[in-house]
Amino acid sequence: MDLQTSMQLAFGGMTAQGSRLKVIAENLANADSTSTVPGGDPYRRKIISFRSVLDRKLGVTSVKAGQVQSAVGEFERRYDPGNPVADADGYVKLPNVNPLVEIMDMRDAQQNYQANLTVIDAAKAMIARTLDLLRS
Amino acid sequence: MDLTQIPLFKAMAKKLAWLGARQSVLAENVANASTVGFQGSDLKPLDFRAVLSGKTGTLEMAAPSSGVAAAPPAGKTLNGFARTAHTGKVQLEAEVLKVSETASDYAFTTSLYQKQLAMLKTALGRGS
Repeated sequence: MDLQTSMQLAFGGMTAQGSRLKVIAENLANADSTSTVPGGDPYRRKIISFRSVLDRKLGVTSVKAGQVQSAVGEFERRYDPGNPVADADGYVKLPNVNPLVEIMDMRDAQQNYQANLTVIDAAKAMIARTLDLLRS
Repeated sequence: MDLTQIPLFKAMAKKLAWLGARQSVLAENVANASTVGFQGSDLKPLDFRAVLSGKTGTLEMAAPSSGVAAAPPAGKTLNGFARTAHTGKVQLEAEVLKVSETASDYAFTTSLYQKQLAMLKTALGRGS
């Protein structure tokens, strides 16, 4: 049934956004995680990707959370010679997490999640209307 | 009494099926809104007048795409209803608006169905 299909699609979307939120939380939590060995690399920002999957049985495109990859790029360095994990020159590498970017991403995930919920609500209301026909 | 033999009821049933299918397409757009490179689509509008007069069959063929427009990812039809070509990047607000529009259209059609049924019952002398 079509309405159940749309609910399933929306549930899939919500699951994917949930995974995205998890990765964002991971990034934010580790925004200050430096290396544990002198001169080592700190926490690297993670990025999740989504992919569209064609559901041949239902004839629609559902969404799946794809693999989580680490962001590439240089780390910012801070001069902190007293730090036990500083390298020979006295620099500590900082994670490439930008809290502002993460929060923007989080808002986007939240918005998408809400939109999927709206779809479920609408589909539910439509099913209820159909069942109401039985009462007439 | 087979209600599906009455043209108006048949047409309303078809409208409900179309609205249901459209909701699926919109759900697809919303779910994939964050997918990089995903292109949204919609269903071609249902010509209720044509359906009512029984001019169209159950399967409407999609118009041949003109060159650049790629075929929608999940086939050209959904439950026998033609999809439009890609409508570009998904705009969440527009999709949510369409979802609520579809839901209220659905409510409208089911109400119409109920009223029509009540009228038939009145004609049969059973009251409504």
